[in-house]
Amino acid sequence: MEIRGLEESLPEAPLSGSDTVYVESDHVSIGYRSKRTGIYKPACSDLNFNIKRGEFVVIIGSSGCGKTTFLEAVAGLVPVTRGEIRIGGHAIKGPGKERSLVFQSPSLFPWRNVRDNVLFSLQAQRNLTPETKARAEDLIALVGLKDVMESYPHELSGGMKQRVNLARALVTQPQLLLLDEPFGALDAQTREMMQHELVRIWQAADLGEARNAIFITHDVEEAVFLADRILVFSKSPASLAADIRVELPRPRLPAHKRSPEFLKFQDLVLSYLYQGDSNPRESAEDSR
Amino acid sequence: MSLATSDRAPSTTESDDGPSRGIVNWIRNHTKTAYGVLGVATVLILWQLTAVTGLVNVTIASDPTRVIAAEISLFSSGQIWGPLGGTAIEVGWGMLITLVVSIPLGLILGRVRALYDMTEPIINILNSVPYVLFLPVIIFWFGIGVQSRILLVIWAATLPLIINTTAGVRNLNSDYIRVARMCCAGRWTFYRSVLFPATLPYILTGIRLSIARALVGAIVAEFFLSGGGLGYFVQTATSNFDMNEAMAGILIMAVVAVVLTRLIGRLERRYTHWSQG
Repeated sequence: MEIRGLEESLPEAPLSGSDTVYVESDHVSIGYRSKRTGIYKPACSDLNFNIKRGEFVVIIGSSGCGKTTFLEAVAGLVPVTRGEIRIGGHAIKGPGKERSLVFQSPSLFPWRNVRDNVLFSLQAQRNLTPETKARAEDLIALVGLKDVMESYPHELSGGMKQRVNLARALVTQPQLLLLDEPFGALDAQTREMMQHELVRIWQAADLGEARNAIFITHDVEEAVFLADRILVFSKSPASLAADIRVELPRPRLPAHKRSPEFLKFQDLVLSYLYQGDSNPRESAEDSR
Repeated sequence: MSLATSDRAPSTTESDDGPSRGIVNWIRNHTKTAYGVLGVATVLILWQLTAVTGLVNVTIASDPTRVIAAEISLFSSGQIWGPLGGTAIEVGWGMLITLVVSIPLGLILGRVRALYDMTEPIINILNSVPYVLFLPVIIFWFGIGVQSRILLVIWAATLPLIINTTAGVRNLNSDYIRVARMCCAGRWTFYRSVLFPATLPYILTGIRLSIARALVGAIVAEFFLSGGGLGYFVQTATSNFDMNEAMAGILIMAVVAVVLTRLIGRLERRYTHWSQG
């Protein structure tokens, strides 16, 4: 039951991604009980979709709609209330070594320098070898922090901290990279640069065969720029409002952001986002 | 994107860059220390003056030159090493046991909610009761040997450290926990590589308080359990009307306290520089 946006009017062939299903969200509902009132609050309701191997999926929705909750459930940090999330056919029960999360705030350890922050995920997974250490240094160079390897987080700018955050997530060679609004707190210029960098790193990093990513944002331009596929979430509780395949050629450059095709996709995403404004449930029904 | 790497702000009060450009320059760069020295010097001079002019009786109050003379004789005769060593053994063993027990205990109490809720009232009550009050009980249970003195030192020092460590753990940034979980860190890695370093600023503050209380504990124990140590030494000297020796003992104690405090300050700058920045 895939929801199609403009897909009919655009060429069929996917730009990336194979036909193998990798992540399955099987009628997933997530909610939590308010600590103060004890009332159950749904965050996501009946999310049902598959993500194929190799897809860069962006989930977009207004703030507070439950998209971060969904990502945390995929990460294994938050339990699913109903339904099941499967990765490679296995239902997730908690965090796993095949997944990495790039946090919204950099969440670096202030007592560790850049190199040791990146090495932490390897250390935690008991995978500190000369080979992985060398990989970590390559990755730090790749994210452009070679010169500040020995610096401490408080000596870095916001953009640099997020690069460390990204390197820490990539160093374990995750099959599924989860990114929770990683550039949300950055200024517009840095954010644009980081989007471009992410695409570059995503393509250059030594990740082996698999490179799946789920990226959360509320920025439409960012979504279209990065995504193979955009999932639009309705307002809280989040349900799937639209599923849009972004058929734009790669590599994408910042200059492409003003091209008519790019703007067309942006308008399309926006229309689904705004549709959700009046009555989320109905709009979700409509788009089916 | 340039930034000063590994350029820790040097402390203005403590770094000594040698007497290369004379005392005037030194004073200009160390105004705080200079005023501190001036304050101490003023007190010493006034003390000396009151003694020299006969305003106070030197046999009762002593004076700085006599204290220094006593100090020299104590060290040259080696008479002081016994009491100093006695106190050092009590404080050393007491602090060692306190550190080994209190830090892990504080870390665990901060993490395990049920244990924290169970122990919090007890720890608060024990911490509010002046610990000296337990001394008669300790003597009754363990006698008047060195073990009782060490026990009082531990009793005095352990609670501030446990309380501080626990407070640090409970203030742990929840992002750190999420990072550790996401990286699949095991419990040992979490305690050793996340919880302990994150809590270290609180732990060092706790140690600072602990040492101060350990010194008081040791001295009080020596007053009551007359088995040697600096406390016993000062008490005996005072009973013998030897004020010069008594003051010399107090001075040694002051130096020990300052050195230990400075040591902690050094550790703080070395290991927790990230928490001030």
